Amino acid sequence: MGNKYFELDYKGPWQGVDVSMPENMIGQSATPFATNWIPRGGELRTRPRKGQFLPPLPDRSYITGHCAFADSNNIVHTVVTSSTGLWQLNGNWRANLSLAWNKVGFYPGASQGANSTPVQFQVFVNKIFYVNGSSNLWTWDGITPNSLSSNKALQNIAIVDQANILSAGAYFIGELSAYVILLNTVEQVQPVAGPTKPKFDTNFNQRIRWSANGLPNVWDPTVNTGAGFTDELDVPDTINGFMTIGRTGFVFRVNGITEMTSISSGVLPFDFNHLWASDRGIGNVYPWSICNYGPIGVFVATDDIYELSLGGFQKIGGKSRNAIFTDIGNAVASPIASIFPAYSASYPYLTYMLSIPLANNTSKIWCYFVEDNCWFPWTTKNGFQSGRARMVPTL
Amino acid sequence: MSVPYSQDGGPGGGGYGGGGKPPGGGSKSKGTVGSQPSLITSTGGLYGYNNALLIPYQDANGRTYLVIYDPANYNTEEDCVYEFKLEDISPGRAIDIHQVYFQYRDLGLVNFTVTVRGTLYDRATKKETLVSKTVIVKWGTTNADRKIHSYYVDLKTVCERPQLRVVRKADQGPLAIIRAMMFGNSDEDADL
Repeated sequence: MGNKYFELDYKGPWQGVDVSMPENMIGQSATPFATNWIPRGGELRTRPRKGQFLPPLPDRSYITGHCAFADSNNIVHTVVTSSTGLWQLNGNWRANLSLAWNKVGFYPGASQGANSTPVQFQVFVNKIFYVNGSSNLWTWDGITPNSLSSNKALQNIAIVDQANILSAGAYFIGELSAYVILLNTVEQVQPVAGPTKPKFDTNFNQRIRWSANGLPNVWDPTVNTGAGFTDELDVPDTINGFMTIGRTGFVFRVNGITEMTSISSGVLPFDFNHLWASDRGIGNVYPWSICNYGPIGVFVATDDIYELSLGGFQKIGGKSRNAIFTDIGNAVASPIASIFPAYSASYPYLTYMLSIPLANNTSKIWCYFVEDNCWFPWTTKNGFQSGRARMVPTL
Repeated sequence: MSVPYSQDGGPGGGGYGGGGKPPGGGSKSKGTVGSQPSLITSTGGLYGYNNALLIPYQDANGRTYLVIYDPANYNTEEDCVYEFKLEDISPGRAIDIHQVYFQYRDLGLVNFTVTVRGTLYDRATKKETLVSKTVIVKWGTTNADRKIHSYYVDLKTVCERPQLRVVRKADQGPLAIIRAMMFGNSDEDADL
């Protein structure tokens, strides 16, 4: 029929999903629709297979996060938090999967597991600190429980009022200039003061609290003036994330970002500076979309997905942005993001992964492959991510 | 190279963490600091090797556990769909597609489908009909030689705005496409 010969050639580097133009006007290496692919060395491969790696916890409690740290003996611990407590991976789990997990400690109160809140971790002075949206700051040093302590109950270490024994926790945690920092805090308050009077948890969603310098167990400013707090009352919204790059902390809100700079080790250790002069500006929309790796941080704002680095802010949603935000618009719960340098020791590939839970126990996971500067979506049909992806030792 | 913590529970082990035994399930076994017995010992622990990307995951039954994306296995457990650019070689005209060519890396046996789809427009009735032609493809070897190979798909169709589409159903093998080409002829005159 036709008489004019043609060849249409498709090859790498693959550009990922492009919905910025009609599908007949996109680049030759872009796709208007794809699911479950990964670019690998200029090739287009079906994505790595997802599989169960470790068994559920013995009590089948809900896993809310995991992390690893080296204790003061230089022993590494891979730990998991759940709705019932803190667990660690058994060193010889490969020999007996049913004994993979050891319980480190349990929450003393039934409501302290905060079932669906992804846990935020901070490693500091050979200990792990974490918060889960309750009025507690939990910690473990990798040492106890041992022969010196048989009590397996986890203990809250953030007592912000020693006289009345009032504790504090938070939704977010970080560390800056040797201060442990709690953000969007949950604190015990009392209608009538007194150590034996009733206490109630109250969420201070504009509050930033810090420990005494280098003393993560000291939180009461009357005990050590280095500890303290500030309320961001001059902004129209609440704190929903935190990251540090270099010596600067970034406190995120829906409509803005506040820079937190260490200025002294005295009574006022930090200077807070709202980045935008306007009432509304680039901020973080989803609490768990923030994550950072080395000098790169990523978060989801209202208008795009941003990469924050030493060079400033950069939009990375690119030509996939509209497709990503369509899925975000269909989310049935808050998306959870992770950024990780590798899939295994032999497979380095810096990836930002935004997992969006959808209806019917499915999810869409948008992967931004930093090296190739492109987005590909992955799918899951029988469940969804319940915490952040993180590289941890397993041996 | 010495390791900081012995896995086998035997005596000694060298280094600053020699000796000791990782915790048994539910037990209170302790690590020891072999050469410094007066120090407080650790509870359990790992060497700190074999980093894996672990992801908390909740399945449809509400169970949570840790999963991985195994980078040594590309046999995805979900359907994989890739649509190439929709081509507009001669706008408003139907074209001939003769063949589709693939360069691939053999990662193992894989079954999938290659489809070219487009539309045909009838000027008399001013109606558009969808055209779709699919071929089942199987390539690769059980040994997965990991070399580059060629594969031709004989797929003839006539349509406007053709689009190449690859669908690999769940668990049907690992697929690695290096290059795809679509060959054909277009007419310089208005058709249909």
